[in-house]
Amino acid sequence: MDREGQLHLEAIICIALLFALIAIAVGVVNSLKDTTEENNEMLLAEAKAQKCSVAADVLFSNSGGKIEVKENCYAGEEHEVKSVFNGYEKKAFSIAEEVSSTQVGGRTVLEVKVDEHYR
Amino acid sequence: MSITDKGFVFSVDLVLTAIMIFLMLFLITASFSAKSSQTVAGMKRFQLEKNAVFIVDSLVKNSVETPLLGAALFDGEKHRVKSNELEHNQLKRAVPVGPGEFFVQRLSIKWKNGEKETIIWAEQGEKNCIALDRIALIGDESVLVELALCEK
Repeated sequence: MDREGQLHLEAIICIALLFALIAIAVGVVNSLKDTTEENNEMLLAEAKAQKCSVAADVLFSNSGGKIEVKENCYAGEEHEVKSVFNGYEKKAFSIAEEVSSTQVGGRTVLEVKVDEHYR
Repeated sequence: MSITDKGFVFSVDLVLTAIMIFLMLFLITASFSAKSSQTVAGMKRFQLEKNAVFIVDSLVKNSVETPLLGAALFDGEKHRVKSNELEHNQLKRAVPVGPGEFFVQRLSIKWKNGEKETIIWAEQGEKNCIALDRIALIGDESVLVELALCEK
């Protein structure tokens, strides 16, 4: 192979490497985007669980009762409120001891029972 | 790009370009990672603050079996729980609650004469703690209830 041919071959390899590099870069960015979206969804699910636990805690501190929330909340184990969002189930600590939930027209009604403040 | 005797592939220009591209990718990844870490740390801090606020609020408002979650005085004559008035003996029986994510590092009462009564004290290599004070009544005396929660 003469010198000109060698340079052409190298130019082709160079361009191929450049495309490979661009493909890797696009792949990495896409993977990052997917991971970030997934993490955001998980964080959102965590935030929803926290919202549920705040609702339960507010009731517990204020003589119990019922509250309607948009989130899909339900009671977990002791001192635990759970929520499901986009398939991610997250739990949050709640000071409430007796939590129950019912679904009414697509909404969740959380109920917290405490010792009656007036008895 | 200059063409040298070595050709394109091993030219310094190309190596520098590749290094810069990889450096940029590294910086983008590092930035994403830092943002995620910040968000997670912020969420944990929020959880701790929320739990501390509600525990100390419940402590002075409720009267329940777990004294840490409610040590308010129950007035038998009026048939009601007296918010912000604590039953000293019940409060002294307080024990920590909480799952694995946090622990009660300190619960104490500061009396008007400066005397401090510690009810819960835990040393577990505390980090990221939050301490809250609430003024309440014990008998006729106003006291400062101090609660500190830490991340595990």
